[in-house]
Amino acid sequence: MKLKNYISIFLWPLFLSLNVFANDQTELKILNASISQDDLRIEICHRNYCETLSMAQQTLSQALSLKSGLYNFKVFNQEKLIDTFEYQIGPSKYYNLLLYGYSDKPVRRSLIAKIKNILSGNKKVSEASYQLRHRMVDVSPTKKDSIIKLRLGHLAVGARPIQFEFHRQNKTSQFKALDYQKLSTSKQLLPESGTISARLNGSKTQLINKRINPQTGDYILVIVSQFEGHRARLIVDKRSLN
Amino acid sequence: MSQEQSNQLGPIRVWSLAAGGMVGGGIYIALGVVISLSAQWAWLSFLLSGLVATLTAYSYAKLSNKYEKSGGAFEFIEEVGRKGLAGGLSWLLILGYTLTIALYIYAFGHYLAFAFAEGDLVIRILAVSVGIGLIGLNLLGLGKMTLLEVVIVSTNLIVLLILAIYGLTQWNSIQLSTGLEPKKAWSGLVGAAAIFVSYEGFQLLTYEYNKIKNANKNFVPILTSASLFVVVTYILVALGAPMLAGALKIIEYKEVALSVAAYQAWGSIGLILLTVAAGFATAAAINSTLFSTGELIYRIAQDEELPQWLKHRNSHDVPSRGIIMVGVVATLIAVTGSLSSIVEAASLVFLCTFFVVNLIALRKTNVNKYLIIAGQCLLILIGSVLIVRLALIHTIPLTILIFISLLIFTVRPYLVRGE
Repeated sequence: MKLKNYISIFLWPLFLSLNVFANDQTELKILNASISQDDLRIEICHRNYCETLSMAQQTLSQALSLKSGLYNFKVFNQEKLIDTFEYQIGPSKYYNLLLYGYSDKPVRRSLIAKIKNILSGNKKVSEASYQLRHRMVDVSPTKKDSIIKLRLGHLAVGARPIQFEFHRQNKTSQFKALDYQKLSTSKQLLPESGTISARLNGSKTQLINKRINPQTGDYILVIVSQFEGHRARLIVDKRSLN
Repeated sequence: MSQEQSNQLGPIRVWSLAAGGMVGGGIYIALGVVISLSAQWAWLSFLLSGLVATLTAYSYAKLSNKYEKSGGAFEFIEEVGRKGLAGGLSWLLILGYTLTIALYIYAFGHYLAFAFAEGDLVIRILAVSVGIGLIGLNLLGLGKMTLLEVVIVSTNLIVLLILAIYGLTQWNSIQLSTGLEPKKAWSGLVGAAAIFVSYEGFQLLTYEYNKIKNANKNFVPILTSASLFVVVTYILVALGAPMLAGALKIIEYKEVALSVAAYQAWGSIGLILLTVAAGFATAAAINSTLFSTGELIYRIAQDEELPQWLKHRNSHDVPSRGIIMVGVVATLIAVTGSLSSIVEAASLVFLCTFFVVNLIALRKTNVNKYLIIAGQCLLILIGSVLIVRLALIHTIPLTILIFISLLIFTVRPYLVRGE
């Protein structure tokens, strides 16, 4: 019997039973917290298919529904390629791709920066002149019980560490201050509305606040994306199953 | 049957203690670290580190048989007439064990706190409680309960294997790196360097050599087969757990990665089961490492390579001062230190020790020379990557480690003998 026949008779049923070709859709949003005067054009390619998004600075895209697989991302500013990178996507996930730093110039990587990147894994260790950076975050809402998850992040170029607070009717929760390009661990919330606020660590002045209304199973991502003068910009992405 | 004979360890117990000593606590937090560094090649990291560990276990067993003494690396180096090196390296080894205990305490605190959805304060309270509790247990002479340890490590291995195999039944290769930038195969070396400490546990058994029944016949096959079994278990977990939670989730929850995988697989029941396994496994690992380190300190103090006040046993015949010293320092590090630096500084200490032990085995025993030389080459490669990684990414822990090592090799003789 030829090799091909062996594969079709014995291996295909095995692959299918092991769910090798699962093709569940993944929901991806892109959060452009980067700073540039012009909009960014982001090209997302999988095999021979490409999709293009145009994004202004400090915005969150609509959700893209993607098949699982390896995706190539290209970021352009005024038709100039700024950065290119790959991510493995899916299956059945909810992701947020964070872009931050200055996105007006192509990303330059010195040899030492490349080595550091290899040796540091998923953790970006260098601010590298606030060049454009990217990071994927899993924001999948929970389905099995009533846990609400909240994750906070500081992607505002040049700002000191930022302190977040969540104010409800009778209670205020204070979270550990975050340095630039750091995300907190997931915090668990109860399903009660409140206001999330941010201020520079050590300062009493609130930079910005936003009301959130968490529902059971939600995953809420709150990012301080820009800081200028005494004002900051806050982007909130709430993911729910329904 | 005499009391001494009845206290001897049979082959099954020895095998369980060897495998359990390795799996004890390392895998519970190494998984997230290794996936962040090697993504879909995490299994290769465990394989590379595991090969070095297994070949070194083989050297340890051969040397133990040759000298027929408990004491591990310290004894071997003394036997080749390098007393100064034995003393210096054993101080470093005590530091390595202290960091390892800190790592297990850290894992214990995180896994239990996660199950109860608690934060930093509870993690610290749990860490301090388990540290103090197990110091107390050891001081009362209850540190070595081999039968209970065998039950705990067997249950732990079974839970890990069930989780891994269940994950493998959900196979989808994309899950190995989902949400990550794909890595090249050689990134497996970076992962191997960072998590080497997960394999150090087999050494503890060489401190019990004199209690092993028919050690001369059984020790080599038992230690090497237990080590190989652990390598296979780690590889299965590295492949299976990401199938349940996805690679990115495992990294994001790296302190409690296996709890997240168990929760994704079986909901709250999975979380409870895994928390119980992790709690007992890490507590048993803290306990046995603390006990063995206490005995090692006493043994080294007997040979005047440690200050003489450590050559002390309490009314329960326990080397109390060594246990208190190591236990308290480990608890403080666990409460204040960072995971990565703890894991990797300890890995470097063990790599150095293993290198020296393999060299002695090459010279003094009839080990398969080709195997050990190949292992040494791999060890040097992994060690070099680790040093570069520490130098570039974790500069402060590396500087502290170098400073302590210099201090040990220069100041130690004056401290112990007033030379």
